[in-house]
Amino acid sequence: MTAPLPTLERLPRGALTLFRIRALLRMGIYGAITFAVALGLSFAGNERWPFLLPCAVVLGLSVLTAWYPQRAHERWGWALRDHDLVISHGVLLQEVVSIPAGRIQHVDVHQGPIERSLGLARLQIYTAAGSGADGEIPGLARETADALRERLVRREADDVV
Amino acid sequence: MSSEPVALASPEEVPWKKLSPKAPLAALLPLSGMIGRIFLGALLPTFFAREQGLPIILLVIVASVAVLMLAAGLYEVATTSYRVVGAQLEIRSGIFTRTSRFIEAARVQNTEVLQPFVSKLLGLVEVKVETASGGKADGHLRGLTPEDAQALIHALQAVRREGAAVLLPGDAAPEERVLSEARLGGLLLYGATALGLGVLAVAMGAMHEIAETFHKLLLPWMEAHWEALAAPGMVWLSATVAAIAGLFGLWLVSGARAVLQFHGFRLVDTGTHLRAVGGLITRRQVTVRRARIQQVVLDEPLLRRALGFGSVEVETAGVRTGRQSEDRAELLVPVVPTARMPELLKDFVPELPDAMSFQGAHPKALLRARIRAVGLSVLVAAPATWFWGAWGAVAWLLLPAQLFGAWFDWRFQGWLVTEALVVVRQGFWRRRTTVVQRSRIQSARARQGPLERGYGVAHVRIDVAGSHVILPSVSWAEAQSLIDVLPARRPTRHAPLATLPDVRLPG
Repeated sequence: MTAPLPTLERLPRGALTLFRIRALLRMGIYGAITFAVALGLSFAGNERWPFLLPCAVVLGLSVLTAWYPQRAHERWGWALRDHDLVISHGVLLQEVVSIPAGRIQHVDVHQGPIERSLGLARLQIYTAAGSGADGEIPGLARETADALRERLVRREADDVV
Repeated sequence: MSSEPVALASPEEVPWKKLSPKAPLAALLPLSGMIGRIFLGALLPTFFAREQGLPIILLVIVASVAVLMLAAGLYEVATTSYRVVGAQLEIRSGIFTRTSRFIEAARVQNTEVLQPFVSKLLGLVEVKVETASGGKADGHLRGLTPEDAQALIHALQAVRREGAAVLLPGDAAPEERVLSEARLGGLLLYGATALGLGVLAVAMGAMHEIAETFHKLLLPWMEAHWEALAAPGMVWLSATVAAIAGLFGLWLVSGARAVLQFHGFRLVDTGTHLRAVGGLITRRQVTVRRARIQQVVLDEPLLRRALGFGSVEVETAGVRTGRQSEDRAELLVPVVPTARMPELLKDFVPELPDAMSFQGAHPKALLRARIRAVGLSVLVAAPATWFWGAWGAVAWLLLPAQLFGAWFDWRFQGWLVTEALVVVRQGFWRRRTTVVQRSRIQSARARQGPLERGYGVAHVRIDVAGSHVILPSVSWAEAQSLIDVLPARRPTRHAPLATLPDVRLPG
């Protein structure tokens, strides 16, 4: 009953860069939004305090940015075994997913502009369970993602659900 | 896939079949109902705003959009034709823009034959063919003659080389094993105990209305006419009687709904299929292939347990939407006496063991439930005491009730893994026992939120096509090993991995 989990493959170094860039972008976007709000408030007659708002948001998010991507990168892992694909991730909400072989309906490989510049790709795995992608691995090296996709879809899917 | 004669015909030779000419007439009412439901949200404010002389034009616009939608729907029904080519059902509709839909017979999860009231008058039936792909019925043919429907379903079954399982209205029933039948008394009990949270909210609102009416209109009249009522204390008594009468009325409505839905319910076993027929005005017949059953749920709320029955929901991979699990289930057996339950479950899931000894939830889960119960009670009772003083303090009674409930919920949940099945039992007030075939598991995941990490517990969620079930709390290590163990291992049919390129991370 107590089969230990397999040793998980880690994401490449590039993925950490990807997570950091994303965190920075998020910080920039939220900062800009709160700055716009503050600008609106100051035009509406408030003196100086509204600008504390974006400062607080950026400060909070920069602490998160320093810590979170590293942790997330440590927690991401995957393993392809004979009978299933195991994906483990999550910093606050930790999750380990096992998708049995032959249950995979289709696999998507995504590449956004940042991912493309870093030579990375995101793999999304769909089963018949219905609600969106059941498994996702971001920040895989493009070759790894392609090879993994090839091996996942090469397995003969069940004819029915 | 198939060597049946029908499969050998080339696509050009198979003639298209049209729906009955009366089909748009039969579809008029259901389609208007459907569109009406969509526009209800938009129409109600418009209706109320009209009093201020505001947007009557808006009402006209919405009404004309609704009429256009109805016309489009009727046009689609009028131009629909279908045929079975090879192993596929092809449905075509439209004249200018032609849409064709192909449904593979092997992928059909269940078929449903409906006969709404208007269709019954016109002598027609509706056929729904469901696959695992989406929220609405994939093939919905409104307005077939019973003979055409029979021919269509037989053609689909011939492709799968199966015998007759569908029985149309008016057919003589062959020798089949009846698994369950519902009688009127049972259905009324089912309806009366089906008071969900939404129904309760409506009931509370209705009670409020009743009390208002009673005090404003009824009470002065009664006091003027009946001397006895003017005596002190009698007002309270009559208010209570009125409230109880209102509640009883609501129960009757709920019971009537159950009778409408399940009148003459009959579940039979045809060998390969399960077929359920029932309904007073709209007669509904669902046929589920036994091999397609994904999940069986036993629903036994406390009230039903006390009355000695429960209901059973059978789900296939057809994806249905609905708030209540009863709406989502493809096949629902409303009334099953507790004594008959194990036998019926065995009919659905033959692998079910006779004696089930459940493993309990993690002890820490009780602590968690207790802390939540205390938190929730304080959150409700403290403001209540603050605002309403002594009367508000009654809300502290919630605390022991919640603690009691938490213990019961924890005590009576359990899970069991057998060779072929996963059985999960949850809840005391609303007990649900879910049976999932291990070979049908789509994915299994172990989850641990930040609070759960504090208690050292985690939960396991199992996804099957069209549904999911969450196991009671276990330790994080056990959760991780469970997701590895639960999905049944089948013989691998793919090429050995050694022949494929090795995937190692670069570096």
